[in-house]
Amino acid sequence: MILTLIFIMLVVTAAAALVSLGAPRIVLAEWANQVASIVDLVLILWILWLVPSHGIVGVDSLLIVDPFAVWVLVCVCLVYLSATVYARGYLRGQERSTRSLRRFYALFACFALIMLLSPIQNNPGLYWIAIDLTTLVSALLVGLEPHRRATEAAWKYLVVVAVGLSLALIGTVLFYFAGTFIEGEQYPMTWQSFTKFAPHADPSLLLMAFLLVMVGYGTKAGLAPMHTWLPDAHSEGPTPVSAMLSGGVLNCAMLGIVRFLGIMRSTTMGGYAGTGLVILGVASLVVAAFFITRQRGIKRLAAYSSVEHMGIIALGFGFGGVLGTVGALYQMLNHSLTKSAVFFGAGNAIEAFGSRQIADIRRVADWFPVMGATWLAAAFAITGAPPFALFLSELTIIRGGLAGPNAWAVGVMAVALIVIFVGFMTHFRRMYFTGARPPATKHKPKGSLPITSVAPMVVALVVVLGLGIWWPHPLWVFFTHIAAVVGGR
Amino acid sequence: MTMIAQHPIVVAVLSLALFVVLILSFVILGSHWVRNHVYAFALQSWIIGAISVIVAIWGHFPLSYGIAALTIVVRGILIPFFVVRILDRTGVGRESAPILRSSSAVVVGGVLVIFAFVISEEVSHQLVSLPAVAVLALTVLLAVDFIAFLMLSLRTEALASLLGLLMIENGILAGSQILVPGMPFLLEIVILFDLLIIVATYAVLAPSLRARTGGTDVRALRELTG
Repeated sequence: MILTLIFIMLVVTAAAALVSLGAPRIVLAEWANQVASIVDLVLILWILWLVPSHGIVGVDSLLIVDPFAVWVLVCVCLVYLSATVYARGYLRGQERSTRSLRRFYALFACFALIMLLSPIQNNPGLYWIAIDLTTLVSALLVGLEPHRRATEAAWKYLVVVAVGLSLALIGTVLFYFAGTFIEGEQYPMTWQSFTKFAPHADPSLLLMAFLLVMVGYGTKAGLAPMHTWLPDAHSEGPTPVSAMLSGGVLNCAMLGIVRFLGIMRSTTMGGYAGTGLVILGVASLVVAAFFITRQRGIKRLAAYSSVEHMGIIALGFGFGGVLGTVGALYQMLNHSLTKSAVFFGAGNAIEAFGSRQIADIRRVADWFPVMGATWLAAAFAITGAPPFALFLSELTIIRGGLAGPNAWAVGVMAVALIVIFVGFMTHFRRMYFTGARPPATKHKPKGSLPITSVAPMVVALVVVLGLGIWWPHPLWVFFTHIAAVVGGR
Repeated sequence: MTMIAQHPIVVAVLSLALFVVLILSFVILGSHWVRNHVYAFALQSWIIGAISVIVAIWGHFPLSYGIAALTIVVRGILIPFFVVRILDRTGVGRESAPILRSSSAVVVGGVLVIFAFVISEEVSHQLVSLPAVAVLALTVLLAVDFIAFLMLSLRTEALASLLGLLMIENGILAGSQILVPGMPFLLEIVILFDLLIIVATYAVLAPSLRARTGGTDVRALRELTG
């Protein structure tokens, strides 16, 4: 049953890509993506409901549908839906050619399809390939934008991530190599077989392999100091792609690190592996705090916020235990929803004010009361302020950190979060409360925003607010199942 | 690997092939003519194909014949053919202003090989049953990849960077053929497919690069900072 639903999701998304490619009118490509994203979301929520009672489902050594993969897919499907809704108004406003739009929607559906495929790969090698393919497709989505900065961003993205992923591949080969001393020269390459031999394999070889994998997938997940591609690619791509990169791909890459971390936790090197991830998490928070405070570009501001949040998620998984893991899983969803709203707001502001610079965006709420208020609330939410859900998840991660051996990192995290809150809100204060009031403004922003540019923001924010007030108990129980596998302690 | 290690002549031939793979990396690193890079990459791929055949015969891994055939066709013929076509179309010849002279780059590459050997030696101390050819394979895997990383940081021509990316995959395949010959065949096929996609992505991005910067020198890409 679950595999059939997954199969339908993949077929529908692939069909959306094909329809978009050959669509005679662009409205058909828009609808193909929208229908696919709705079907995907409905089916994955159904699977989310089914998976606790069915347990782990798989096809031989190829696919695995476990609670962790399903959770990452929930995040991906939510962002895919909101991004396709937002893309309608956003792209129509840019007056692009039909050919360019057709290409965009086909690549966009391909991008979603590969993201749907990556978390359910049971073969670490095929998972690596899926992650690599997300890079290639999204690099095209960024690089085909008609400006020089986009080409630069795509090129850097391609090179930096390809180098990072090559390290992850070497790490995967070494993991398999470590198993040959126990399982023989030929054995199935699956997450289960890695978990089976790991406690008996040479721990130092496994640790070396894990560090390579962590740095490799950490590059793709945007963890500092390998994050350098992220601000460029996220800020220069079209806004729907920025949302997908931030809310979808980063989680898919984090899944790989966490699966390997779960394997390491069954060995004597589990503590070192967790600490390694904590160090990358702390580095990401510090780097993000530094660049957020001195940022001048609005989408780069949102991009550095993604570095921050991936750092927090890395900290949660690195701390481990039930609280750390549960908090990190909740943070994944909350970040995906809130960051999409922040990017959509940034995209609206850039289109309206004709500039990516924070200094050129002024009196947002005076010009766009609904969008402005929603964007401001989203900015407030993304900094981890209550009553939004990110506050709850970050608090849970902090509790998880205090209960473990890496409590020092909680202190750094707390300071970095305060700096980021002040820095982020200072930029928004300038954009909302400084500058001339509308009638006296010299360059008036472009007319009103289409409803598709505002509705996804409002819906995402309402959900994040709801999840901040009420953390559903079944969701907590669901997370504890994942924590039992990857959380250690 | 254990089967192969029992045949001294096979071990000698494999060691020689691994050395040639490593030396060809230095040819790519030391030359500033992009066309030379392509030819050296093609030759490197043919030698890796030969390594696969040896592993298939003496290691009793019949699927390695398939890997050999695919390596030679995709890496040894198709990719060089596509890249040469791009070269002919773009007219890219020699890197006009290299960041580091050839001799200096080769010296740095030599240091990286020593570093790779030190790591492999450390691993072999941990794993007492590791045969010498496996240590060499690990050294070559790491060294070729380090040299490819060096190329990526030193090369200013986009096409040379692309060849650096392709060389990384060659290093991994050369080493893994001996270290983990039982690694699933499906994985190897998809990695080859991935290489083709990297080249195709470059082919799509290169015209934008030329149109917007007037060339394919990656040093022109310095606008995005902070």
